[in-house]
Amino acid sequence: MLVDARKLPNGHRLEADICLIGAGAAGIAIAREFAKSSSKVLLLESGGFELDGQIQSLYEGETTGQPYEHRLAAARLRYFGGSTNHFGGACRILDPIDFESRNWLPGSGWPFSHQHLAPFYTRAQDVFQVSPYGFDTDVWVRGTGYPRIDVDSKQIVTRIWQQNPLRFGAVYRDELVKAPNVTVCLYATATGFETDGPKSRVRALRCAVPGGPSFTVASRAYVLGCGGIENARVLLLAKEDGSLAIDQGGVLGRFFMDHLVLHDAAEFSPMPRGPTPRDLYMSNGLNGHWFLGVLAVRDELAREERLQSVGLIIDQKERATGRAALREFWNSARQGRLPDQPGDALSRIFESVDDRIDQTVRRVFNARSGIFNNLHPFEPGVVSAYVEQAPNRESRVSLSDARDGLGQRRVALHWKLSRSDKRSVLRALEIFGAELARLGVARIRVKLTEDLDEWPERLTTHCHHMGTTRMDPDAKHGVVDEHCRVHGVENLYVAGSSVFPTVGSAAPTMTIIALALRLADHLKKGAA
Amino acid sequence: MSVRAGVKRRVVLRAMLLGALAAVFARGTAFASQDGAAASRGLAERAAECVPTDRLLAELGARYLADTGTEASVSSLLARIAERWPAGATDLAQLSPRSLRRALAIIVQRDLERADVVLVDGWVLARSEARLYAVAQLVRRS
Repeated sequence: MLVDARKLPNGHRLEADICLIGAGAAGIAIAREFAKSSSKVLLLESGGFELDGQIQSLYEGETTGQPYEHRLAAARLRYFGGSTNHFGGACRILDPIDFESRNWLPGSGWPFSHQHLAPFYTRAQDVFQVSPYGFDTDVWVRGTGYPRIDVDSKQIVTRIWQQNPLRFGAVYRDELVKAPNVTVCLYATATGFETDGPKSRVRALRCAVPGGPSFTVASRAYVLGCGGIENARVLLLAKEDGSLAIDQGGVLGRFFMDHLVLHDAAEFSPMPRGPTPRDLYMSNGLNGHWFLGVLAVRDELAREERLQSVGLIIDQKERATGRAALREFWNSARQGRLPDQPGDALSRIFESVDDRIDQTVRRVFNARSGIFNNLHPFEPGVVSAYVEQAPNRESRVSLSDARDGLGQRRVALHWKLSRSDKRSVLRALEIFGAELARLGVARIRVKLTEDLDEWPERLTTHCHHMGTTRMDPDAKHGVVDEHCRVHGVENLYVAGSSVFPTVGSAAPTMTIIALALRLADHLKKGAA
Repeated sequence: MSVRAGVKRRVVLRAMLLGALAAVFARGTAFASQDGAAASRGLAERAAECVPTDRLLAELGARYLADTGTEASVSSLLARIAERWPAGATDLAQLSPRSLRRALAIIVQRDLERADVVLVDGWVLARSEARLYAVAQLVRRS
């Protein structure tokens, strides 16, 4: 069922078994799980099905500290589907080391292991529509026939990132609206909580529409899934107005993290006669599934060197991927059909042939005149680095004095990096450079200064807001417990990347969905 | 990128690789006949001969010297390189030019295996590779 909150009478009361606050990746994933149950689910979305400027402006906020490239109102989207409406679709699980308590990284350690989350990652692949190949590099090597350059390396490893910019809102909207036990309520912005006497149980959620009615939702359980910054803001507002007795440890809003992206961290100069890392290390497809090989320091060495996670992407000249396209044709032909995008595949084959002719000509003339030396295959590339930010207590979200369209305090982000962030990327580049030289692949020239406090102006992020309601079994160190339940409140949960204690270097959406599915299972057990 | 920059890059890459790692295999035979004469020359001169004459390599050698004040002499640089040769400096000094090239390439390779590297003007160089460029720079300067 679909409800437009703008048309509700003032003071109206909605009821549900599960109230999901926010229809982003997490909220939608949980709602879909309950669509198969008898529980009555209410999925609240602050926006509509399309971008609405007035609603989007509720996201405005100020930033201080390390310059944050993105305006907060542009870094996330406030309508059905949330920020999946503009994300790039990068998809990768966190690695086992990302869950570990690393003694060199204060604040690290999840309450459970990668192994515990593994079955939920498998289910999350279906939600993300990136099945069936998973993330085992060898599976992709076998499927594509592309060689990996790290076979003989004890220092670096190839990890597969998949890519599927799935617009969750558009893809799952009809399914949810048609589900008999699910109500999708648009233009409903959560503004506060009503609690029982000891403030340990939410009795109702207060909602409002800018310039429209106010109403409440009564539910047995509430799940806050508004994004990595907004989750903290909603709870900070509740803490401030005294409706919830939460945040014993004073960590709410703190430990804000994002993935640091350095698009030009180093030059990559392929050795003239060395093996060139291509194909597996370029954005490429296997039967319609897009992937990219990303190089990283092996876990054993990362522990030894006390490094945070760093993913390195070799960005060379766009090269044709004819072999992949040929393989797509071959695999499809065996199944008696055409590839998903035959025109695109054919185009890539032609480009590849052209590329090979080009290479040959240049190799021949290189030997004599050197006039083509600056061109493929000797053209250098760049190395982009994706860096795990260390948990930093001073990196935080708080409430500013400015007010939004509903009269609520806006958010203020103070972004603070750590010296270990810079040390990790520098050392990862050194290891990468040493290993590629040893393997005869390329030489690396780092373009970052060695000053651990200095970051280049080109430092950016992919707006992965994480860590502000961190998960820890101990209420003194976390906002939510290992079940994502807010410490001190028995029926309020948080979904999304705000619960991540540490963040690895991979895009968070897969882990957001896996945690959402895990939370759905937990809530179902409670319902039973 | 300009054609000139491309040419320079290729020369540098080739020099760095062939000079520090693979020159012994590619060019070693050319020096075989000179073994007798070379044996009488000092280790520094013979080590410097392993490094191709190239402006950027010279710059990297000079930069390494400037960055590491404690390694400003040929003897200290050679001592540090030789520390990484299990048979020691005496053995290195007695090697023929061809064998010396091989030995230096092995030392550099081992540095890379351990990721024992140094950033010189941003280039990720094996530590012994950087020292070798510095030795060559000092020898050629004198």
